[in-house]
Amino acid sequence: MPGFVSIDLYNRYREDVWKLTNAKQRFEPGKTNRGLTDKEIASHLGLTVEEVIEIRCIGENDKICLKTYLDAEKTKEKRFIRPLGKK
Amino acid sequence: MGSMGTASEIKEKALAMGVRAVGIASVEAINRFAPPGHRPSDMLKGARSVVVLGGGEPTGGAWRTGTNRVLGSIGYNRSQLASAARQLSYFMEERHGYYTIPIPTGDWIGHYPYMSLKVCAEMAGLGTRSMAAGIVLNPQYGLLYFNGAITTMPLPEDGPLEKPVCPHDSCVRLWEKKQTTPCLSSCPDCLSGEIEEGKIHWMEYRQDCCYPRAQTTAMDAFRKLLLEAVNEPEPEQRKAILFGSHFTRAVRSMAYSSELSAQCFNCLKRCPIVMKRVRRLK
Repeated sequence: MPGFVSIDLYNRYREDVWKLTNAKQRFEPGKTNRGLTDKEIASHLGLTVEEVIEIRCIGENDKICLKTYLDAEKTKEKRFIRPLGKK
Repeated sequence: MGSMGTASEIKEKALAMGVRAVGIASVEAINRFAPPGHRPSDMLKGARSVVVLGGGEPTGGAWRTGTNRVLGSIGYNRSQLASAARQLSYFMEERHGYYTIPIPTGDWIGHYPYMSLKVCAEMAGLGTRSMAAGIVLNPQYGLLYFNGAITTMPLPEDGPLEKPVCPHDSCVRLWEKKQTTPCLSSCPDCLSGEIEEGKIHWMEYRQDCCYPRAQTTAMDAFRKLLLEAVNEPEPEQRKAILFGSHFTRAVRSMAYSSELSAQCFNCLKRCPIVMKRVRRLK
């Protein structure tokens, strides 16, 4: 089992790791755009792979606020409704 | 190299198990896009081919449900394709004598998958990326989910489709008139992009925006609510969190492995590629 990452290390690298992940995905035909793997991020930032995995995992939860989960149903239902006059 | 006859036999076997579409990709082709650590040959030593299975899509009626919640509840079922992939793996080992495994389709760690099923599906000719979050759309069925089998068996590959499935002609016309498409307008938070000369010029998808909508009551929601409850100093308020409707749904989702993913569908609900099949029904 991997060890827990220190919160200092997490706070220091959270944004840097996040920017390199596939949280934002870009597709352009003919081009290769992809988020980096944990190993690639580790090499890029001078961290260990284990540290990157921990920072990424915590960040994936931390970066999305609870309110967006609680509000999601309402947002989805609102967008689901067919505009008036459409079949 | 396995013959075309062998490939046809494997495909027929998959289709007989209820799979909607099947294609074969070479590991070499997948490795041109998949990064080290997330390649078929990282999952199975000496892997040569991937048999990709598509299916499990919402029925036509599911798209016509009155609420997003109902579509989110019945629009996806992960059991059928996983079962087909396992059965096909046994068949290929027993009939043809090559090592075969079902594609590991869960999350490897956190939000990262073991390997990209999108890349596998594209390389097997089962569809192309769309403006809607890069979801791979099949020319016949529109939305399909994917699974498959990785094998050491060399098989003739189908290769990527020559013509992109997305954008549909009607979306091109809409873009020229209003600079939007049904998918982009349905979810402007998650999606952005441009069409140029009738083709996708670029598309961006924000997974972090999509997550709370596609996985509203799944594992991340459970952990966030649990942390909220643990940090809540007032016992009565803590009770309101843990006995409340959202946490109740999250617990149920995990207990029954239902409503865990694909809970949104809004970006594809008005997609003409998906809807062309639905519109033929009475």
